[in-house]
Amino acid sequence: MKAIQTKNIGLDLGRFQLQSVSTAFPAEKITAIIGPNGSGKSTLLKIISRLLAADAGEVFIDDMNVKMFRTKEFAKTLTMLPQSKELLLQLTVRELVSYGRSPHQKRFGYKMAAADEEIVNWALEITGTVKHADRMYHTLSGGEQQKARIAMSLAQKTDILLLDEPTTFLDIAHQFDVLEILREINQQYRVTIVMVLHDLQQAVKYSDYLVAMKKGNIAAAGVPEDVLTSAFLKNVYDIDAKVKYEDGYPLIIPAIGNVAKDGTGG
Amino acid sequence: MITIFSKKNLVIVLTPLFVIAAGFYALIHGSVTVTIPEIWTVLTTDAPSVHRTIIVDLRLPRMLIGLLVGACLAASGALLQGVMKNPLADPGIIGVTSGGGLAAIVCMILLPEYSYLLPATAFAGALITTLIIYSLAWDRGASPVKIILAGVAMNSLLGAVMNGFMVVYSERVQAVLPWLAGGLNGRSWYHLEFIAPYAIIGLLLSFFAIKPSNILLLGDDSAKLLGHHVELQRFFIIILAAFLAGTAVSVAGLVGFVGLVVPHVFRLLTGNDYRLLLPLSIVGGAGLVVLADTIARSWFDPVELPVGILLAALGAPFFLILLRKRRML
Ligand SMILES: Nc1ncnc2c1ncn2[C@@H]1O[C@H](COP(=O)(O)OP(=O)(O)OP(=O)(O)O)[C@@H](O)[C@H]1O
Ligand SMILES: [Mg+2]
Repeated sequence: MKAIQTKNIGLDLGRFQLQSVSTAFPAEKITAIIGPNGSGKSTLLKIISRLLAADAGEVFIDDMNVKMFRTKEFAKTLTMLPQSKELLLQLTVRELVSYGRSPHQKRFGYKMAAADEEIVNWALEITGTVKHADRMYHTLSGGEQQKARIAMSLAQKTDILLLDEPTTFLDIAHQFDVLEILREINQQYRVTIVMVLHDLQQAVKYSDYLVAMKKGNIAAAGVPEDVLTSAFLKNVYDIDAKVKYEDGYPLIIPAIGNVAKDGTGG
Repeated sequence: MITIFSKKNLVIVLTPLFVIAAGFYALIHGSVTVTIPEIWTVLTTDAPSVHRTIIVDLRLPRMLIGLLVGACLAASGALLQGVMKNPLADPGIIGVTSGGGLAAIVCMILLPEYSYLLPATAFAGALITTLIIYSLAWDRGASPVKIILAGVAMNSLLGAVMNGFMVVYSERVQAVLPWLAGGLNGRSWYHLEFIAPYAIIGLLLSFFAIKPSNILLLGDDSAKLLGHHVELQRFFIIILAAFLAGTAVSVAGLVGFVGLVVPHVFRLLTGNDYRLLLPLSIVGGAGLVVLADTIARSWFDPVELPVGILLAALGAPFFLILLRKRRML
């Protein structure tokens, strides 16, 4: 089953174009999107989540065109953790996470139902942010903020969760922490997850499906172990490297000294 | 960390006390001092007296107008600062000052015999200008930056037209000047009746803007992902802000700085959560205008200063101090 399908998405941003992107993300699975800086990963996620309107093409969620969703319905179906970190409102972590419930509440309601409260607590627990719940968000460290924002997205209780670089700002321990949390969410609650990752090893390890982008195109898609090869690294990132698996974990071993200077694909 | 005597709680308690004190001061103080027992007598009996004239005909309506004007201006500024994501936004930025001002000048210079239409004209001028600015900024959505740019352009255009009128009709400018400076001199029940309905409706509506204002501060993307119509909410909040400021400007003239300074001060004191910021700004703005107006009319005897001048004169340095302190934080 396909949760998300894009058909011939085109977008012209001047110096950058998405060129007829057709791809699909499997339902109830974790998909990782990889690709060089500026290859269009965030742009594609923004189009799927309706933050950006494409010039051409269509996005379907469970065979329904995303344009057909009412705004609030859509927010109960799909949400995203954006790459931009804009948040000007000064509030506590608990208040921030509570905003995740807003698509489920009446427009001008201020009181939280007990059920909403419970979901907020759940989101705080599962992300380990409950210990910061009563602190002001802007006093948290970058990593703690990121987890609080993930908690807010989780509190939205959508079927599909897109995350644009959920592990940036996090130290290695917290990176794995977040990835484990996402895996748990996926396995326990059957949430379809699509995330942009820059760490290819983590992407392979933590995803069921891999989509690689290059210069606004889909460069490869498939089972992670099939996608991540030496040839792929040369083609998409322009680096010479070997791929090895050790105890089931992929290792990328670059041929030091041969890394191209202008290795960006954008 | 959470104590009863936190700065926040202190502000929450002191702000209403401030407005009550300012209100009493406005009734008591002036060229003739009227004591509280005397005010009580006037308000509870019908006997005509000098005190009665002073309190009922002069100070009471003027105080009430001051309350509403301050409340509307501060609410307008608070909403705009949020929706524009800019702590320096004030009603002038969406053309309320220039639009209302030009309409008022045209009315007073070209149609002096219809001067009773002044409040309505200024009000309409303010709202129309805001709508024009908004539509100029529209391009698949109206971002705060575009609105501010369109506002700057529109303000300078209208300012030029305004100056043109004042040069061409220089002999009639005299009548307009007090209004341009902004003041409550001579405002009475007629003016109160004019603005009270608009002010009360606007202030009540502003409470519906609390939640959307907070949500917009989460960022446009987050707000959209949470299922909110960001453009629609921004539009309504801007129109509401224009409505509030237009209401105030219609009877008080171009009173500046309240819309800028009051919300800014409360933001520094209690944070930018609109559940607190908006009510505090409303109450604080009301108190500030009443207090400033009382000072402006009584401390410089025999001259009566327009309150707008006093507010600008005191507000500017105060604001600079705030900005400097903030930079040090
Ligand atoms: N609003 C815009 N106007 C013009 N160009 C844009 C706009 N937004 C993005 N771009 C360009 O589109 C390209 C793709 O951007 P995008 O953010 O999708 O890349 P990305 O794959 O997410 O990169 P990164 O890994 O650095 O986050 C970039 O070259 C960027 O400069
Ligand atoms: Mg990106």
